[in-house]
Amino acid sequence: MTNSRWHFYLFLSPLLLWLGLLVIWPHANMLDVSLTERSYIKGNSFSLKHYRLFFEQPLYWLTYVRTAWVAILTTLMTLLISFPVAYYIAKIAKGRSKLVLFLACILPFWVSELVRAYGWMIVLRESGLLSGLLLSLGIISEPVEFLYNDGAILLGLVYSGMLFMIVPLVSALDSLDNSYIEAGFDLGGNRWNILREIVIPHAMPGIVSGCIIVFMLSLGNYLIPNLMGGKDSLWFTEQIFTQFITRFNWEQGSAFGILLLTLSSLIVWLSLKVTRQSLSSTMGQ
Amino acid sequence: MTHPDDALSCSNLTKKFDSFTAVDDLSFTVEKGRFFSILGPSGCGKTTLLRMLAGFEHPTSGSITIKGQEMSNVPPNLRPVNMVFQHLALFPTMTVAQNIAYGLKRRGVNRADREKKVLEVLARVGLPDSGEKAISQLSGGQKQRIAIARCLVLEPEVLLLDEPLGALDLKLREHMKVELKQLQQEFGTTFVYITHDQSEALVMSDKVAVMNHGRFEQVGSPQELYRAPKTAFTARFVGDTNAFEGTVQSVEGDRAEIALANGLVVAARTESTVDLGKSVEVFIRPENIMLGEAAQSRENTMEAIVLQELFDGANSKVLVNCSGQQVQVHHSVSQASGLTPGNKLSLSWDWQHTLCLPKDGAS
Ligand SMILES: Nc1ncnc2c1ncn2[C@@H]1O[C@H](COP(=O)(O)OP(=O)(O)OP(=O)(O)O)[C@@H](O)[C@H]1O
Ligand SMILES: [Mg+2]
Repeated sequence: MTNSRWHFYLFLSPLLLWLGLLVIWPHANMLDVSLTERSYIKGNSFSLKHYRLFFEQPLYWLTYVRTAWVAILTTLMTLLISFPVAYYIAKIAKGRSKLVLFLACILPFWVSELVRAYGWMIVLRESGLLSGLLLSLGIISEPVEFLYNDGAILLGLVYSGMLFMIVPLVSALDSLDNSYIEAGFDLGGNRWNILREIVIPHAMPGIVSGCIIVFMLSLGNYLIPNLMGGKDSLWFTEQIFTQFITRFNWEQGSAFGILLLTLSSLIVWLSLKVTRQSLSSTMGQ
Repeated sequence: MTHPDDALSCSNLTKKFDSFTAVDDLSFTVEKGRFFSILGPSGCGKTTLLRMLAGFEHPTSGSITIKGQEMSNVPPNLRPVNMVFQHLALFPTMTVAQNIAYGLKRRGVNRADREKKVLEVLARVGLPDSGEKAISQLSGGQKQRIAIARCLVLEPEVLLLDEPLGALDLKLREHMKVELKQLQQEFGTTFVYITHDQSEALVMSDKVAVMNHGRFEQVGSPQELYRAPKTAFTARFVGDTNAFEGTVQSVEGDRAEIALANGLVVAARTESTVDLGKSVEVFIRPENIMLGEAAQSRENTMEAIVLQELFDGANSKVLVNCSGQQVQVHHSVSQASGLTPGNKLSLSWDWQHTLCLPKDGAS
């Protein structure tokens, strides 16, 4: 081995260690556990039982589908809300106000997610700010509970995903020179088709990388669905938690974990295919 | 005042940014089919003027008329002008053909006609097979031609060009100068071209406006600007020249005698009225100065010491020192002997080739 090769591996080793010890090894182990049937009589044996159970129990796979669906919805809503904000920060705001706006987006994330979730709960609960405000304005006559429904979960997830969408979008849009937009107008384009044919194609790597991150974070979020959606929010991570912690059924929990990983990988792969982006182009942003 | 042959006319056009006046009360017209250049130093307001013509900036006052139509309430996407941007702004996410078809599509031209027109214009700019190429696959000069094709396919009344050759290397720039002029003649479109490079303006244009501090110093053909600059700024900006400061000693018709700061007295031609005792500037182009003994018959002479030879093929010059002032003089390659630094030389030139103009800002 030449000297430079040796150096290459030396510098790569922390990454390889990290990947090996914290990503590949636990997941390989989890896959192994999920395919094992424990028995005091026969000993451990290979079995697909835990996967079969998932498909036989409607509660499990319906929760699975629902979680994926809400995560996708969250991603799309985050994108819809973040895009105008990012566009404003990147293209319209100038100098100081640009910085202030960008900081205003980042600032809430200095607080832990738990505290932010409680913040929303203070606003949304039955005796909370929103209910009280509507009551005093005479819009509602009885206190209303805004928490513990799908809307609240969506709200919480969108809110916690915004930052991870806005940052890649701002950087993608920042790199779009204003002269491209002006050239679009000059050649007879209007706002709408300049957005569609010039701005969005340029921002596509940023859009896709933002969407992947927000989707993954939402799908694997435990805190928000649990706190803002309540105990029966039917989020798939709660099922995993229940299996591992409450039931102490590590085999079933592992099977669910592997299924969740498969799902997120599949959806990310599909969305890359559909948008004709490659992982390297979006993550290279 | 507008004439049916005018593609473009502006009157009293002014643009202020807060209290700063970028374009100051300009009035001018451009005839149809002409190559009109606006030449000026960086920051003189060229881009601002062009952006007002394209509709990206609103004039503070004054009006723009294109082909007889007042433009103040017409947005950029509806104006009969197109612009070639300084960095071209070809859309990198589209192919060459898509770039050219973009404007046609916006006009609702159907697919078949669009394809036909794209092929036609590609052939006319000499890149018939590049339709499917990505923008990143083109060379600098090819990008240039595509950017122009993208505008010309829309058959604009006026094509605006903002220093489009600025980003190219010198060799390609020289080549594109000629090519751009040929394209303009072939298409017959009115070009308004801005540049800070006097040689670009001189080579390509039918008419050049020399711009400074938001105003036109002089508008004329390249020959007029070179031979008869009306202001000291134009004299200095258009072509190479040697400038001396002095005061007027006597005036006789269009011949004035000027006492230079270095003590010498020279005779010069003057067209504007210069008063006795006024401080003026005197300009002599390097090619009008003769070197050596053979030239003693002319009225203006100076003794000089060679500082350096500035060899540039047929455009070679020699830098000499005349009583403390540096002067550039053309010399033919055959004369090159005797140009060793420190040598004494005598310079001479005709008074008709010597131009006396009031100092900038003193008029
Ligand atoms: N949006 C703006 N706000 C404030 N001042 C501006 C603005 N745009 C241009 N200016 C000022 O107007 C003046 C002219 O600018 P302009 O861009 O027209 O110059 P230019 O002649 O094109 O120069 P260059 O050759 O460097 O491109 C400059 O001093 C510039 O600072
Ligand atoms: Mg400019």
